[in-house]
Formats: sequence, structure tokens, C-alpha cells
Amino acid sequence: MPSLPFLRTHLMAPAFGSALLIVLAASGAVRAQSLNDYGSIYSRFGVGERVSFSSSMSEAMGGAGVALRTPFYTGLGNPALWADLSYTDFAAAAFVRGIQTTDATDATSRTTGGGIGALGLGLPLVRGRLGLTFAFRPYSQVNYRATEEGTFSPDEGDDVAFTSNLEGGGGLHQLTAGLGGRLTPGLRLGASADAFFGTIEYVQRTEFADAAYDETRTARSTHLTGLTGTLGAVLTKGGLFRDGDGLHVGAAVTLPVRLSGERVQTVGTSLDRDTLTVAADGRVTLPLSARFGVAYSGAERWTWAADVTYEPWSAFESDFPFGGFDPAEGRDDLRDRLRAATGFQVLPAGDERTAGYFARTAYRFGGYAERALYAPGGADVMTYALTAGLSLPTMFSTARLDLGLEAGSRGSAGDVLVRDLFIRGTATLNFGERWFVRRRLD
Amino acid sequence: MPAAGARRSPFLGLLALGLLALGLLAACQDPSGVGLGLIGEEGNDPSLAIVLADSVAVVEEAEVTGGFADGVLTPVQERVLVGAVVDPAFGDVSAEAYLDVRPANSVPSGFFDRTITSATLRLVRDYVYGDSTATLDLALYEVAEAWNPVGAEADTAFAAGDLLATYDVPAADTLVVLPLPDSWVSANDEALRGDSVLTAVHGFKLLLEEGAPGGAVVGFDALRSRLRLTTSEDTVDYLLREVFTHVERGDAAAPPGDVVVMRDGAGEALAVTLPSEGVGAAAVARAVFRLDADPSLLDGGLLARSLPDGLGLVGVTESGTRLLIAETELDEGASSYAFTSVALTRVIQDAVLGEPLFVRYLVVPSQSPLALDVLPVVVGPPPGQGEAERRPRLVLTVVPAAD
Repeated sequence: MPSLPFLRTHLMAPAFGSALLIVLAASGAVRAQSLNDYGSIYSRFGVGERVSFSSSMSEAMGGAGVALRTPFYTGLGNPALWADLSYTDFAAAAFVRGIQTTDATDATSRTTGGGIGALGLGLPLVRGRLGLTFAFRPYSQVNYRATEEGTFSPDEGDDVAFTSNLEGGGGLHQLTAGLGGRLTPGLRLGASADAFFGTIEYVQRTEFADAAYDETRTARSTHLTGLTGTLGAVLTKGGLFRDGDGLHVGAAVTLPVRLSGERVQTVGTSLDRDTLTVAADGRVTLPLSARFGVAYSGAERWTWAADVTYEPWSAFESDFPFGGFDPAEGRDDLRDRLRAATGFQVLPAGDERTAGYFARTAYRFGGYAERALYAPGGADVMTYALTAGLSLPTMFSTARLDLGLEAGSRGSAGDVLVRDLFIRGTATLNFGERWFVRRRLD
Repeated sequence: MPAAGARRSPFLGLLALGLLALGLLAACQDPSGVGLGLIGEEGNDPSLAIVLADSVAVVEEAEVTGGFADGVLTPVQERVLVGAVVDPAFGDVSAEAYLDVRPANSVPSGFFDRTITSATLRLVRDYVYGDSTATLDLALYEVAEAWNPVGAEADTAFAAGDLLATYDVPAADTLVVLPLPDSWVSANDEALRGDSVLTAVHGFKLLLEEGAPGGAVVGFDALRSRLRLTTSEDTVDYLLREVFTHVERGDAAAPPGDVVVMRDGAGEALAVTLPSEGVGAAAVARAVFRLDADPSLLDGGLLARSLPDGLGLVGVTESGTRLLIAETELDEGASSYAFTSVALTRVIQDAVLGEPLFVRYLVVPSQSPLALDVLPVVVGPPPGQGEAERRPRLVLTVVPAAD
């Protein structure tokens, strides 16, 4: 642990103070959003909008990270990557986002939101050979809101205007624990156990223009829990074009997971809701997630990576109806999700610790294209986005503050579909430290 | 080097400010109907649900008529009644008023040092039940001993002392001035000016002289009525403090079949039960309990009767506990009453969810100001046995729960 004088000296350093300020600012934004967190209307479908997060490095490179080997980041996209851990790595991420949605009539709405991105802890059991990782991250997010205006006629007096707010909230979280190990200099394997849990809630909140009427809420909440596993591998071929470079090929698959669920219906006024019914228990089966990626690192100075992700949501099964999926009515708007991503990083200073600040800053760019897991009315919903980021050095040589930005569009305005233009900012604090180091002198 | 990082750190500060700005922007939401087509027909519009009362009946309910009129102590009672009426339709009624006084909030300097030369009860009439052209022969007594108006029900009586005076009071007079005899003034002069006025003077009882014909019951505004005391230099008004009315009411004639009659001052309440089912799974945005009256039954020629100005809705739990849920005033144009309150909405929401707090409801006359009004409530035929749209009913604005 850092000594007290060290902390006293360095915590006051402007760079670290600013880093703390950024994380606090991001967390403040998160708190501000806790009651007002809205995102894409497309999060209505299935168990919500899928969240793909491997590391803050990967995120700024379009999300490509299955084969992205690095000793500083705990790449959650592939457990085989954990074999490379050199430091005990802790990462905490927060994000804010804004979305402008446009429909076929050119009507627009704007929503904003934020949240905790992911928390991860990587422990190098044998430095560079065997790593243990624990992580908590969102798997899906439901955070839509749409409003509908209307009037109704009471038994006496004038018509009363009302607004129906149709809102979705919650999502699934993924809790991961696993090991990654180096079998040979060129082969790394990993496996993890992944617990899924969360609540998906659909709420109708009706507000009235006349204060004599209470705001009402009717809601259906589905609680889900389940367990599955992930397997991963990375193959590396070094010295391909020059000394110190490396070509990495990775693959990972998260097995289908069968979730146990319970649906609860509540009604009431304002925040005061009472349970109306507890529906019979049910099952939900999430499809597997298969990821394949390649990465090339040119010594320490630059890195390129590309990934493809495939999730057969056409195999999604559920006893409960969800947005776009209602087995009782034979509705199924879900289809296989495909995501292709690529990105690169430049670190001008390489591993030179004495270089200037901007030379030691990593610059990342990337992009991705995704066919969504839903196709309302049979129409594919495509997302195209560009990403960028900075990895800023701090006073601690093994700690970095990563800032990311993502902007893109989702869907197209036509028929019932809408087009989302979105922008998303992230702040991730990665803190590495040597643990379990044997003392050499008494 | 650390120093290099430290020198360039303002850059990070700007980023932090940017994130803060983004966070503030995050507080702005501009949702709309965009994307509703993707959600489908999930939303349910508000709608009205009418729940007719299962049963409506008049029951005995203790009626508290005592209280305080000084604006400080509770319960408040704003009116006292006195007089008698012969009413074949809704029952003969008689009323006797008790009232006590307290010093004014401020008095002229030296008032307590000067002898009181006269005392006059100045009663402001604000209510008449019966013949407003009648003249009442009233008798004023001292109250013999200390009395407590708190919880005093209409059939309570307090011991009266000596007769002080009698008066002829036209029911139409809006200000009734009752001079007190000089003997009472001199006997109570020191007490009225001393610290013991609240305990040494027990107040007055005002009632119709024995054998007097009556013809009307008049009500006096206890908040505006005074005991006026005069000295050689000053005139000071003492306020009414404890007030109480003893009321006796005889039997009423049977009302028409589609009406039940609740009479104020008779210890009566309207008991209502509501069905436990019928609305289904829904959120209740507003609950209104409506009563329709038939004012034509109150027409009595010279005998002036009126509908109650105000009513209370009380919930009764299984254990008998009573809780006031809502109060309302008469809609004179519609001759109807509409109870609504946040509490009523919550209570009905619980009942809709199958967890009713109350087993029945009582419609009671407002405790203050006290009156002798009559409420002929239209009940119509029981539910399912004919047109019952004016039966006491809940009008609910509900948002049905999604399936």
C-alpha cells in the first residue's frame, strides 16, 4: 500500500486531484440520473439493450477486445486474457449519455442518462501466467420512456388532460469470477462462472393536469436469476514482422443461460405502490454469446484489434412476455445479434516512463457496426458508431484515467422505427498495484 | 515524470467540468410520443368506474355538540342553538344553549381597576330552523358549576343555577342583545375582573321558557357573540369560550321509499357499505363519493328547513375505530355532495386491491357549526333492481393495470 507521506504528497498533486474530480463528477452525474435515467426506446425489446464491455481500452477502440492482450487491463470479453495480469488491477467506470430520437414524422425527443459501467478486480496469482478476476457489469439495460397525451371526461365538469408515461427500467447484471492461465508461450486459456440477475420493469405512470387527481403507476416487474459459464482462448504469434510485435487471435463463448424468474404486478399512486399479484414462476433462456477477435500490437507503441460477436437471439425463450416477444400471442421480433468492431491505439512514448505527459497518453479510435437483437416488423435495426478515447497517466505509474467518447446512430426513421443519434461519455479509473510481492530484505 | 503530469493537469480539470456539464444536461428530459409505435398498445387510458353503494341506512351515532369558540382550544364549536319547533315531518326538536366566557385578549389600561356597571350578552344570529317570523320567549340561567364541553354529546345536560332574566327574541333579529340583571353584575364584578374569571364564573344557560310556544330554533355564531362589560370609562367585550347545546329530537315520519333521511341534532348518521369487487386490477387516480339529496322533501311552508351545509365521511374499521376520511360542502345547485380527498383515494385503492381498511362508512353532519338540518338522501332501488344512478356511489378515475 502507498505510504502515508506518499499519499500526503501525491493526493494533493493537481493531476491526481483532477482525476478524482472527474470520477466524482461522473458519479455525481450518475446520482443525478438515478431518478431520471432514460435511454433508447429500443431498450424495450427482449431483456433490454445489450451492453458489451470488455475494458475501457477496448471500449474506446470500438469494443474490440477479445484478443486484446495487455498487462494493465482486465479484459472482461475473454477470460483467457486474465493470464496476462501483472498487477492487481481495479477498474471502476461511470458513464453519461444523451440520445436524440427521431421518428418518421420528424418528431424528436431527447433523453439523457447515466450509470455505473463496470467494476472489476484482477489478481495476478502468478504474474503474467495465471490471473483471477472478479467483475460486475451490466449485461442489458432497459431505460426507455415515451409519453402519450390525452383527455378523458369525468362524470362532472370539464375534460381532464392526462399524460401516460410508458417507461421501462432495470436490466440484467453479470457477476463474473474466473481464471485465465498461460498454457504455453503462445496459448492462453480461461474460464469463468457468470451469475446473471436483475429486474426488468415496465411502468405506466399517468399524470393529470388537474391536481385533484393523483399520479398513478401500474407496473410489471420481472425478477430473473441464473448461472452460466464462459470459456476463452487466445493464440499469440510474436515477432511476425519485427521484434516485439505480436499477432493475437482470440475467441470466447458464454454458454446459454436459463434464468429463473418471477413476475410481480403492482399498482398504486405516486411512489407508493402495492403488490397486486405475484405471477407464477417462469423461465427465461438467454442465448449464447460467441466472440472472435484478432489483434496486432506493434511493440509498445500501437495496437490494432478487431472483433466479431454473434448472439442467436432467435433462440431466446421465455415464459414471460417481454417487449417484442410474447409467446402467448405468437409475437417474436427478436433475431440474431451481430456486432463487428475495430479500433487502434497509439501510445507515442511506448514504455518510456520519462517521456512528456502527452507522449505517455494513449490515444484510441475505433468504430463498430451492429445488427440489433430485435427487428420490429421484420426490419433490421443497425447501429453505426465511432469511438475515441484518451488514457491519461496519473501520478501512479500503474494507474490510468481513461476517458471515452462514443457517437453514432441506431435504426432509421420509418414506419414504426425511429432513429437514435447518441453520444456517450465514459470515465474509468484503472488502478494497478503489486500484491503478494515477497520482501527481499528484512 | 510526475512533475510533467502535474503541470498539465488543468487539462483534466477541463474534462471534469465537461463531465459535470454533461451531468447537468442529464437532468433535462424531453420525452414525447416518439417511439410509441415500438411499444405497442401497452398503455391504458384513464376511465371512470361507478361503484354503487351496497347498502344505505340511517344508524344511531353519538353526536358531540360541545366545544370551544375562542379560536384556541379544540374541538371547535362555532354555534349554539336555542328554541323549539314542532315538525311533524322530521320530528319535534328543542335546543338549549350553554355558554361561558373568557376575558378579551386586550383590555384598556385600568379596566380591571374600575367597577363593572353593566353586562350584556350580544348574540349574533346566523341560523334559523323553523318559522323565522316567530318570537321566542327565552329564559337565561346561570350555570351552577364548572362544566366541560369536550366530548359532550347532544343529550348531555349541565346543572343550571338561578334564573337571571327572560327575554322576547324575534327569530328574525340578527343581533340579539340580552342585558344581564344588575344583581348578577354586582355579584360577579370582582370575579369578572379578577384572575379567577375562568373558574369563578361558570357561564349561562339559555333556553325557551317553560311552556312557551317556540316555533323556531335559532343559532348564534359563537365566534362573533360577546359578553359586553361596561365601566364608567370603558366598554370591553369578553369572548365566548366553552359552548354546548343540548338537543332533543323526536321521531320523524316515514320518508318515501326511495329516500332515507338523516337528521342533524338527532344523533344520526348514514351508514354505507361498498362492494368489495367490481373495479378489477387498477390504480385509482381519484375517488369521489357522491350523495344526491331530494330538497323537495324539505318544503314546509313557513317552516324553514335546509340541507346540511357540510358533511363528513368517516371510515369504520372492523374493531370499530372511526377515522375521518373527507369533508365536503353542499353543492346548492345540484343539491348534492361530493367527498374527495387524498385519504379517500388511498383508502379506496387499498379496497380495490382487496385490502379494505374499513368495513363500512358513515356520513355524518359536520360537528361545527352545529345545525338541525335534514338530509333526504336519494337511494333508489338496490343495485341490479332498477335505475339506481342517483344512489350513493363512488365515482372512481382508474387506470387499469396492464395484463
